[in-house]
Amino acid sequence: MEHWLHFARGPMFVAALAVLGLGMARLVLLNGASLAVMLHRTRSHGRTVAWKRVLHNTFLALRPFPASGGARPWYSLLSLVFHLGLLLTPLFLAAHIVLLERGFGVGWWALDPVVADWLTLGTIVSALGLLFLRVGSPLSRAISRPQDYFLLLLILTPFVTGYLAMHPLLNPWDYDATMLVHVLSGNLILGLLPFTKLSHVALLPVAQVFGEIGWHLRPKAGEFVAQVLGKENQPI
Amino acid sequence: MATQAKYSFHTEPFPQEERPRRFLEAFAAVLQHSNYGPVLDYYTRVSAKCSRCTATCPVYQASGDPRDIPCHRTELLLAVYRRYFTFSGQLKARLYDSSRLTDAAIDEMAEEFWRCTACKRCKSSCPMGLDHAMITHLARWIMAEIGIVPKALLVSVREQLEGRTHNTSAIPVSAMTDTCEFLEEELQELFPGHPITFPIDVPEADYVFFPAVSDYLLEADTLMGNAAVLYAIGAKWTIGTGNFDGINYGLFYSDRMWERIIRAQVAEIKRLGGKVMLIGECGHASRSAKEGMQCFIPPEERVPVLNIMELTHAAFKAGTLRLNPGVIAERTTYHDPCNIASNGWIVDQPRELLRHICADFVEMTPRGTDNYCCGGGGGSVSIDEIKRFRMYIGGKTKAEQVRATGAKYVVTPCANCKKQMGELLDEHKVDCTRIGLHDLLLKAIELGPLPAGEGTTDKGPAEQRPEVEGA
Ligand code: SF4
Repeated sequence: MEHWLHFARGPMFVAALAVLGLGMARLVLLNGASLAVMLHRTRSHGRTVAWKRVLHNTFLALRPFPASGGARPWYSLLSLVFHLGLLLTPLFLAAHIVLLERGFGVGWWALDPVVADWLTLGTIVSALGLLFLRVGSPLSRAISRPQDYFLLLLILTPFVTGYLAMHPLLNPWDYDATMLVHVLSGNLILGLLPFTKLSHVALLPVAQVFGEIGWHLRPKAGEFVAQVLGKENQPI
Repeated sequence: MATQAKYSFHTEPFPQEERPRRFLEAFAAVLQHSNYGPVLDYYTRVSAKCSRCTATCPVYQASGDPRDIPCHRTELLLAVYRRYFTFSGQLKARLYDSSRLTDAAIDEMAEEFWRCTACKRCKSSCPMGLDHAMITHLARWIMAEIGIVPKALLVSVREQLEGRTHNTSAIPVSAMTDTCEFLEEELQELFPGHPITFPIDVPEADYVFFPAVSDYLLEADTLMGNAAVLYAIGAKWTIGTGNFDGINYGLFYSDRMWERIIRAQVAEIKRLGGKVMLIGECGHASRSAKEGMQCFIPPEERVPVLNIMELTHAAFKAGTLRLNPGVIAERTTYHDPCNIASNGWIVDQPRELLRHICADFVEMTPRGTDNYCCGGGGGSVSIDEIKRFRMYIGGKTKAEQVRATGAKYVVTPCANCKKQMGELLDEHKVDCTRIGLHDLLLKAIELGPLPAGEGTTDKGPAEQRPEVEGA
């Protein structure tokens, strides 16, 4: 067990980081290239992009609580807590930083352990709440795919195991086994980030740019489409 | 072999064989020549299925039907994209996933993408920034290329582009000019001595006027209000006999038609040597002209696009248009047409005019960029056979909103919204009249002393021309 844990924390973690890094780089490059091409097309057609509107829309979309019609307030609240916990806890947990310092020689400011504890609990509770809302509401169920459940459960795993590992009295399982599940699930999340909807970590900032330039329709596109489909001279 | 698909809207007969293959061919052709590919790519990656859009979509709110959830509808097209146009989708298909695009899936798309009114109300409720109206727009284009398009829209576009009259209502030029002469006489009675005219085919005019052509049949007061304002501010304007229809249904179902229509309109402006494309009271005509001008017309041929409400408002602010304050005694409210309001383009201008001329102006909530669609958006208003949908799903919230204001007039400055609103108020027995903005301005306009000579069209209008952004 000890040996496995060592492997999961060491080489496997590095591999997961590599997949994360390369995968994200690919995404950024792919989407960056698409945007560059679209921007170039727009410019060469003598158009400008309404960057101010893009920025404005970006802020509008990022508001945790949109103004219009109280868009699912419970969902919004849970999602906010969930995301805060998800971002802060793994990055600023003292135990993680110690490991990083040992392994890579880099470290940074750490969260107060009590705060980290509460954040972890908050993340768990909000994740369960989100799961409950997804399963409990017929409309959410209607549009959910397997990955929507799977990713939520997957994300829940390191938080639950992490919490149990820190509170041995509550933990019904062996410490090492708990830790192993914790590290493995954490690694899996890192590795899956670029290939699932979790990629919004990196892609979200440009959502509105796509929304804006997507409407910059290309001149003659229709003519070409008609040609390809063999309809150039057909009456409507 | 598939049988003739029956949708809730009528179509012309279209080939039934190999629809999935032809759908994919059309999809591929569109992706190859447009900017939609990268957008779909992005959307397929991040779509989170959180269902927060349900809180903003009026269609879903009224129907409660999961298939009306914006994200659900969008997924129909994203799934096809993912399966056929992404590497991982093709790989999966080879390895284990045998799901293929079926006739049933196409029929589902045909129904659902025509249940979205393309109002864009859901725009900022998606945390991942998905623009569901854009997906509706794209899906309809692909379907139109394989013949799935409401007949009402198709027939209008055919007449506009290939018919003898070159307009969607098939109004002959002589009938249009007759109407204008008749309206001139009416205006004579309203404003004795003032030579208010509808100038036809005047070369080198500042403004070439494109109302929704149906105004010539249905909205005499709106047109008279337009002409009176243009006269009052001394605008040099004209109506072209070659093309006098601002309607562009391409916006609702095909970028290919959108481009052809705007090109024909610009060609008429060029023929006349006009300087500005002036759109009448019509939301989709304004948006399709303003965006279409930028998208499809080369920079050197572009002309600025103005909605007449912008011009009227600017003249009022500049003091060249005088309006009697408070002349409309009845309670009045204002409906925002989605196509000019959801992007914040025209929201405050008409309100400022209305607050001035109405003694009792009230607002609906929500409004402006967050407004509720009249329920006839996205071309659905022209499809008579889906009237029940428009009345009891698409427009239900709007009817209640208007009723709640207790207003006598709901100002509805859009040809599409006007038709829908009229039917809606009738059907829901709301004691209120839908009316154009310029219909009311006609009652408030102050023309001052009679001109010494006759022609007022030489008054330099240039200094009154408002700043046009994006021109
Ligand atoms: S555009 Fe309007 S009708 Fe269509 S999904 Fe969005 S809110 Fe609903």
